[in-house]
Amino acid sequence: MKSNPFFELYVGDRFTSREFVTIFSDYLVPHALPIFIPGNVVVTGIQGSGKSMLLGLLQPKVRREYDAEGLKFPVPEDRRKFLSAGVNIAHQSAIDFGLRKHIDDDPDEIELLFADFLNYLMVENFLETLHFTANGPPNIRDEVGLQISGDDLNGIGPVLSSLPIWEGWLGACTSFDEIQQKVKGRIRLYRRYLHRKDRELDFSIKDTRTHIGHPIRDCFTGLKSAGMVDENTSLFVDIDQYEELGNISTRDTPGKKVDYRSVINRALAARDGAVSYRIGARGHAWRRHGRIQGTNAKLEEERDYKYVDLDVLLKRKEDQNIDIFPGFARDVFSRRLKFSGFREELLDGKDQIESVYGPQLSATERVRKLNIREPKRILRFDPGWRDKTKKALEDLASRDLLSAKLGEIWIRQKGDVFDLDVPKGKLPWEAKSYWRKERREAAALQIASQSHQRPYWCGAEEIIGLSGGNILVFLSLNQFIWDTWVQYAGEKSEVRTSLPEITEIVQSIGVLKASNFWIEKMGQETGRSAERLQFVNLVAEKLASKLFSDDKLSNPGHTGFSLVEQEMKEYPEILRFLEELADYGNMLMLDHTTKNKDRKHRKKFYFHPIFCPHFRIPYVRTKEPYYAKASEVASWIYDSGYKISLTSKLSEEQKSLFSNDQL
Amino acid sequence: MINFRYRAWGNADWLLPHFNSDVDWAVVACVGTEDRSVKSVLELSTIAKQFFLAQIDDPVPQDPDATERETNKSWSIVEENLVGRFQKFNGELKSSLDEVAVFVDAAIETTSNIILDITSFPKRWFFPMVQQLINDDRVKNLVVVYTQGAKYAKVISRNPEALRPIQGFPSFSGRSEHDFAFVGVGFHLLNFSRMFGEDKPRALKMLFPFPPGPPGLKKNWKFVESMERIVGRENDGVSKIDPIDFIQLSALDVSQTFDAIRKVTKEGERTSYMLPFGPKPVSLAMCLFAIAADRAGKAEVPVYYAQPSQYALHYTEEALFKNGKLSCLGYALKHEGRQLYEV
Repeated sequence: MKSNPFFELYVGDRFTSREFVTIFSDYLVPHALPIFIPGNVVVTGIQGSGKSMLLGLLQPKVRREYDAEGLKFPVPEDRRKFLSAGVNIAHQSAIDFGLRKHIDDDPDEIELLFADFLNYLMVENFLETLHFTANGPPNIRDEVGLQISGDDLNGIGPVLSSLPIWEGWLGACTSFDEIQQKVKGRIRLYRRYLHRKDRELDFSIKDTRTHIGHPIRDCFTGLKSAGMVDENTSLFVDIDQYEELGNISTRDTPGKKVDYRSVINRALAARDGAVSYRIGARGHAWRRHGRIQGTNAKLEEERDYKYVDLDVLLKRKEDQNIDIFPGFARDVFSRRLKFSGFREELLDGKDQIESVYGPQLSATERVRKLNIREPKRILRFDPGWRDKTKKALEDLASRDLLSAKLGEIWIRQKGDVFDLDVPKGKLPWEAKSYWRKERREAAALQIASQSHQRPYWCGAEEIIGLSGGNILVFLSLNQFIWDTWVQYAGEKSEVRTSLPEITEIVQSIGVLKASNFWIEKMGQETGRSAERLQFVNLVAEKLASKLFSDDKLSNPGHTGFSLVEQEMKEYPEILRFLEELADYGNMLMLDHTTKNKDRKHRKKFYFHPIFCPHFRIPYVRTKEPYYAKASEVASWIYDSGYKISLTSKLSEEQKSLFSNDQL
Repeated sequence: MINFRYRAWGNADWLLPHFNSDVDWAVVACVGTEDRSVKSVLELSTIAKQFFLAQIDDPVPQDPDATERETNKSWSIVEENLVGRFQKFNGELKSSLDEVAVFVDAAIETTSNIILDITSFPKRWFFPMVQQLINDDRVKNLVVVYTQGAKYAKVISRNPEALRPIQGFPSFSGRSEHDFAFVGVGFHLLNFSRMFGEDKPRALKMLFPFPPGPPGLKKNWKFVESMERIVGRENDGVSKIDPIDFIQLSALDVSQTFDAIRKVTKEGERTSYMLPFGPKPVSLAMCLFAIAADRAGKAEVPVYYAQPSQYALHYTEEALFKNGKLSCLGYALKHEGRQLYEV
């Protein structure tokens, strides 16, 4: 038994099929139904959005595991009639053409070869699916519409090998094994060439190369014509790691470069209905690159594919009725506890997250928990304030330090003109609920900072809030909290007959560790991760420092910044960098309805909530963000080490952005 | 099975003279921004006549001006000291296998005795170079040289790409089940959490370099901690099933690491793949094992790596001196046509 139910994180393809069926939360399935409906689908979402898990449901092994465990397959019954194939293009060497010099000579030819290689990889995996499903339980064969069992597999050899699509390369195959070996043989020849085991690519391949998507389409329709697969069975092809194609750098050679993505886009553009592609991608990166191989056309949403945006789906909503993340998190939490051996009756009904972590602490309670010995020393008075004002605030500090601090801020903003000798709740700042609400989080953090203590981050709602709609972050927070708790609790952590109640201090330690972990993890990601890490550090420190030195707390919302959309468009490198931050989930990029008179369209940017404990800034977004100029953001990006592209690609006029205009 | 075999290695100035005195060595090396890359080449200039030196440019250097300045400085020292004895080859981090092969071929065509100095070569280059030199029968004597550095950069490399097979070392068959994954424990855990979804090892062998020397130890344990979080090892003293196993090995002893892999895999009979994130000699041993398994017709040993797009300008700030002597180590791989690293 594992004492930390969250030790293994939520990396979809890390789990075995058996673990998958126990841990997988089907909560998102109804929101992502297009995945199981014929037609091409692009699923966008950052790592941790549950994308891999959802696409994992297409794998035949996962379906069979549900069956073996006697559990209901989470895909709706009327959507289960499908077979699948999957290719991980980076891992399976499909994009290794750049290893050979020939790529520089004829990129167009390489795109055609890549298409052929990818075709054979799809067919190879499809054959594996057929083999696995045909040898599986009859009820699953019926469900997917496969009319042959393991004994009949050899019939597939002649049916598929006789298709004209192979241009004779496969020859006549009399058995399933034979066709499988032939397909594998061609893939092997490709890999031998790409990794220079063979100097030249076998000539027979060049003469018989296939168009993207055609072989898998013809194989599938061939099996249908032969009555081996039902007419109304769908085929879903999952192209994994499409999103990494934009990050693979090539040599510095002049002229056209191989565009792997355009080849895959061409498969989507075919829209022949026989095969449906499933592409996992990052939002902005996907939208920027829609070129179709061999044409000047671009892919179009709804015409060529449907779009499932998990980031939008999971983005925290102010209206709790449409905010699906808390429910998803609760379901995942409960499954993890069940998987680690907690008794079922403990997991029924009530909110287990709240049972373990307790309710959300108010800002006042969090300040109280700091146990500051002389609260009045936290207050700062301006010269000239009346003695009775100081006295009233000092007295209040001993009872409610947060209110006293807010009083200090109020008087600094509005002047020392108020009568503070009033009954509880009638103090001017207490009567202004919005003013108080907008400042209490920042004020609580200021108090922790001035008393040289770490602030409290705890409670069920806060754990969900810090997750920022990312289930991987949610699990990671739990992992670190339980890790810390196991160290304190010792043998007690093995008990499974009751839910533990983890103290606020243990939660806070765990949250801070998780926050540090996610900051560090940023640098291990693909893309311009080092620059992104530096940018987040630099901007967060600037904003935090400004927030803590703002003794009037005039701008409590300056935990993020806002930019005019038009300005972003004028400086495409800035826009791309900010989009990359959003694509990787480092920052949230949201529409901003400005309160400025100019009413210009703006975007606002906030750090992912999990970073906030590290920087000691509030994660709750309130009031107006900092209104930044493009020149300022450019200088932040420049200072983050992203120098080359910005300076080399911008015009002379744009270069003048790099002024000394600092925040 | 013999578990440990003696293969000569030690200070280069001790090892190289043990070869026949009439051996005419050619050095294949990389000259970059690191001080040790130059010191290493100069150290070998006392024993070798010819030098084939590469300059390898990053796609987007962290600081292009400083990189150019430091690289020029290194080359001017080389030019001063090796007048008329070297050929320069301009390459890129992403140079093709063909270009790498042409570079190596140029050296092989002049002599059958090669010293490959891997001090500043990225893995993307030296893995296929070692493969080519081992497999080319024209090469009779082959020594790999590695000069240790001091004062490593806080972040030695950045912006990793997706985890992919290192060039020349893929899985040709596409095998996805393996008995073991060998992980070289290093400084940075570059983007390889996905690995264990695609290639399922039954056990994970962490090759822990010892002694790592400061600041390596802290970074090494950080690496291990992150790895444990990824693969889900729970160190609670209760769980008996532990898929992660640590093998403490010398950070410099290529032969010892090679033998450890050989022993664990039962001479390559059991399947494995490599993740070379540790010190260069450990990565070299992984490379040699993959080559040896291939030569012996054993199950292929793919090597996966998340290629960084940028390396630190001062990956190491200076070369390491021990008792006033440059720590330039040599590893004999071939002696008089005989392969020393075989399964």
